[in-house]
Amino acid sequence: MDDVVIAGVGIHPFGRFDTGYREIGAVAARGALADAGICLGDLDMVLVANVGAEMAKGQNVLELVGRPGVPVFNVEAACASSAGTLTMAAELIEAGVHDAILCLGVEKAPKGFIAGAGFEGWQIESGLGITPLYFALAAQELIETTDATIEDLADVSVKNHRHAVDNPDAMFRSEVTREQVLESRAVCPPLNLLMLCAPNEGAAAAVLVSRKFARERGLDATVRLRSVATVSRSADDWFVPAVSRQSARMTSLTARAATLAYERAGIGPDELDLVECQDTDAGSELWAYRDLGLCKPGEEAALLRSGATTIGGRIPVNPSGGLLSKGEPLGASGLGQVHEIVQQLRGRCGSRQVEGARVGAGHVLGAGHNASVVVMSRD
Amino acid sequence: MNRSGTIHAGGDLLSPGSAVRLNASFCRDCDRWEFPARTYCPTCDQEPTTGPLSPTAEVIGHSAVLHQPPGSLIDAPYPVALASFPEGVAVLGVVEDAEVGEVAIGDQVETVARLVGDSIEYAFRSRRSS
Ligand SMILES: [Zn+2]
Repeated sequence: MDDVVIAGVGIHPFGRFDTGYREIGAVAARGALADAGICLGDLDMVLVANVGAEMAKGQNVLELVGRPGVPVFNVEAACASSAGTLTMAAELIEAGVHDAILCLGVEKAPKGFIAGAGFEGWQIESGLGITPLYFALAAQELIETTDATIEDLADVSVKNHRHAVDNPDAMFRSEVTREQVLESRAVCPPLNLLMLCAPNEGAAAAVLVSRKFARERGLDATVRLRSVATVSRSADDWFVPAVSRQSARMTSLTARAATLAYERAGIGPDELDLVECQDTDAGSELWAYRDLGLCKPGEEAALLRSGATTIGGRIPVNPSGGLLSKGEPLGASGLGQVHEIVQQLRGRCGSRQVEGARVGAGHVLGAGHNASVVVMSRD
Repeated sequence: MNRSGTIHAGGDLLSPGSAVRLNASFCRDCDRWEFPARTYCPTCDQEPTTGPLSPTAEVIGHSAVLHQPPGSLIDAPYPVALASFPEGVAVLGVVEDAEVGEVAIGDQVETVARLVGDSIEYAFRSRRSS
């Protein structure tokens, strides 16, 4: 992908707020437009990612921003909803159909485990309709088949919480110790509460434009979107909410999205300077190390222990603090990653800055079997 | 009555606790079983045949639900197993006769009928040698 510039980003902090989703979304939308230096009337289209709100949610948010008169579409793909907006916007711009599209993700998720993750009624009534169960089984598989330990799971959470101390948009900004994580309430063994992200509220937005549009309008064209690849379930994937999988054959949604994204960008995992990945739970981050090609299979814990994925290391992962610290406003999480990566590539992250960052990747993985990887670089 | 269709021949005669077989579909061309049974094979889109899975399976993964999930009619805490059937499909289920922490990889479990609300659904029962 050659022609797509991320001209502006905006965010509403992730957390818990008294305001409604419309106000929360409007803050991020206005922020992105102001950051890009354009107004709503310059847009060709608005794409809005949200999982749980109401009919015409994007239109309802925009009513607080302005009335551009252009098509507004709402996009939903569980935790990969944001990636849906990026995929469509980037492809429309690359194809020359449109010049400027606002991608907005917004969520005001209820507290507690995510209900309505696609489980059938009998699964829920039978006690199987609970998402952390799936993450627990994946974490256990990592512990059984590699040298990863429960202490490593705790240390993922410790690392991401440490990163979030310097992120004003994160929900949890206090450091935690390995002991605190290990002693937090057990949820689904081996996962404890502090190894799981909390659904919450927030919004993030990005303005995607063509290079020509950026040049003509004198916009900041520092950061380009080099590729985005989104995949859904193929025969041998297994994720929430499927009650069964093939015993022997298992494929990875994330690995397939990553391979496609790297191919399309002409950029390999060795060239990445930072990654924002879907750390729904601590084990998911370790799996992402493997599936995104940051390490060889079996070397996930070693990569973590080496400090490589901490800010200051070779390939910092979740310098924003990740979902473990920011919380996860489902529809906004992917664009939250884009916000972080763009600011990192611009060198504007202050004390959590990844020095010299030129290439970054974002990764989301969601219920219903959706995964997406996006690659960005600075010119 | 097994309203979810997960139990083979799940008619009115099922009673809680009795051994049952899971209802699955098999695509001969792909040599592939799917549970729950599907109308079309997810790999080749042809119509599979329907039949029962073996009565016992081997635990290849396990966890537990320690706090009552919304909508569950099973009282937490309870252990859950991912059990692999000889047909090559692995299924999630509550292990109804084990305490949390008692299920281990390599255990054999059998499928049994369990009353969930007013429907008969499946659960696992451990078959440990002890
Ligand atoms: Zn087939």
